[in-house]
Amino acid sequence: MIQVNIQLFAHKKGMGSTKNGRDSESKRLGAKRADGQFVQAGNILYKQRGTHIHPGENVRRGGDDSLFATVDGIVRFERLGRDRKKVSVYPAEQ
Amino acid sequence: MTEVEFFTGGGELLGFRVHGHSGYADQGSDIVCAAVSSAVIMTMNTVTDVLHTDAEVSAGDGDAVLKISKKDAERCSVLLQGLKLHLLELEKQYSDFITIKFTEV
Repeated sequence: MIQVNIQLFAHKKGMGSTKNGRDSESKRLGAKRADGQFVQAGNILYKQRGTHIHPGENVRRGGDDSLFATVDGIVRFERLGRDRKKVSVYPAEQ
Repeated sequence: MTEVEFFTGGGELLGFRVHGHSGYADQGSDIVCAAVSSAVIMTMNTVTDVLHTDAEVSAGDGDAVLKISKKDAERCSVLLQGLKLHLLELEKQYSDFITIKFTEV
């Protein structure tokens, strides 16, 4: 005879499966060039969502908000107003 | 999800396998599991201890199997048909937690 167990098909307490455990693929955001580094036109300087850092001199913002250099030169991360930042590229002196 | 598989042969029910935690709630408050467990175990014990058949039975954590021989199929038919009806009705109400299928053996 089988012993009567009316919780035969129940999760044991504490064995419940978590409803978490999902995450999207990380997008490797952040700085891609350092301050004072020489870059060429077209190089991506900073990958971001929104304008965490604003485009400065000779820098433009791409469709995915990434900042890229429009000329060859040296990277400078600078302040923009009181509490914002910008990145510029200054052509190296010949 | 608790999966119920009825074994059939020659138009008769020859047993079942019930497997998996229903997941409706934790142990002690899982009413779906209680309904299924109670019906399944009652059926198994009736087959072996009331009808005195030499059926093959086993029950463990989240798993229960009953296999009857063809010679006993007719004697057990009413009972197994009743269980099938009961579980099909439960499936209608708790379809996220019970699924039923039939396998010819």
